[in-house]
Amino acid sequence: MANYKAQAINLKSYNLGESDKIMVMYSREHGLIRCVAKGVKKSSSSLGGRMQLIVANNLLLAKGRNLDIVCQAEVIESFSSIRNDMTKLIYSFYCAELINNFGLENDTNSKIIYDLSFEALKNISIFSSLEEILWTVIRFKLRLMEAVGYAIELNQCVRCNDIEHNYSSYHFFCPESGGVICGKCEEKANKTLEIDKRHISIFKDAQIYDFPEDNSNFDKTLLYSCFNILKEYVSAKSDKKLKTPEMIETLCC
Amino acid sequence: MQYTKPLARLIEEFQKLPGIGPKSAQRMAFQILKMPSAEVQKFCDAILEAKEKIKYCRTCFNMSSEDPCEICTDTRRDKHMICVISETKDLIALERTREYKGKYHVLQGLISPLDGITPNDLRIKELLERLDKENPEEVILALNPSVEGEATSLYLSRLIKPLGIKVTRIAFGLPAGADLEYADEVTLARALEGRREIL
Repeated sequence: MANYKAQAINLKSYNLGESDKIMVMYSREHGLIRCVAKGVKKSSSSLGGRMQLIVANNLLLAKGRNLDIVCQAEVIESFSSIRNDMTKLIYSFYCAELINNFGLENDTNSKIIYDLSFEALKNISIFSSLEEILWTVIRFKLRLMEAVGYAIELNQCVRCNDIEHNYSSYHFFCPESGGVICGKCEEKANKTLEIDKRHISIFKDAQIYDFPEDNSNFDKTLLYSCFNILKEYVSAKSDKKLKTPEMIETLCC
Repeated sequence: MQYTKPLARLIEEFQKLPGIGPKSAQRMAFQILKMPSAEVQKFCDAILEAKEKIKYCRTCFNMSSEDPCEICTDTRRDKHMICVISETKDLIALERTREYKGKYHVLQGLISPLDGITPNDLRIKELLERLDKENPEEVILALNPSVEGEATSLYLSRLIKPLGIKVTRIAFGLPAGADLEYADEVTLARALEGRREIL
């Protein structure tokens, strides 16, 4: 039986039998992986803590007939501060759900997506204010969507490519098309969201910087509005219905 | 070879149970066929009786043949303490310790955003109504040390603390008899966090 190593973040788990779990992880080397962690529900298991959700591990896995088996695990980062704060937990769950939905097995971009995910979870665990957490999640969503081939268009109308307009004249975002749209195209679009130059500025900054260049952008209402615009976009591109946004509205607003 | 119809049906029914695959179901079905008719009848009666008589206690949502359950009606139990647990099997595990003499409240699950389980799907509303009525001194959160358990604990403490009730959580750390060398980093960090002074 061949063994292999991987660095992976635990995203989701399902109970299997008496004390085993099926783990869904995103690895730096192989993208999305599903494997069995044996005996993790027993208090004597040395894998128990390491197989908790939102923990990054160095793994040694054994190739199995259907699912691979976790042989050894060593914690790289447990993002421990996330577990002491409800808001941080819910936004981390949201990130985990996005990685699980958009991640692929043997993904060619796995290294980029793993690093993005690790950075986002690390920042959520370090940051203390809601504004900083929202900024991190917005930045993560934009860069994740770019990595999976769904980058948003902010410089020209995504429908008619009318590049004569200045970006400040765009007042609508079309989640289905994935970008800003001009007034003419807005009439034909199914669903649009209102957007202004402050949103566009945040999206552009978040694609580049860890923190906004201009601190006046650190407004909770504006950041939350940006988060919601991207939430609609991500939902439009996702095959499965996302479950965590509802929880964000119930517990974090 | 195809199974005869009644046997195929029996195997199919056994397969509906958790952790039972086709091979185990087949073994169980053949065992049933080998048993004397009286034993099979007893087995069927036990299943039907359990299904008919066991229901949820309206106070604590523990599984019981009585409503209110034996624990809720036991006057020797400390009514000033309520231990919140996720499943009835956790109650049984706690009862085995013989250390806890208070009452229980079974949430019937944990908040799990990834599975779409929200606070509205749990018995949280009923817990708050109970706290308002019984006014206990302490609520002990004995939930799994998983991320879902953490989320539920944080949510509950946010709701209960403003009521002026002491909220505690069972300790995390190393299992009795374990070797420190083999403990995982997450558990060990938690054990350090939850250290206490030796009296």
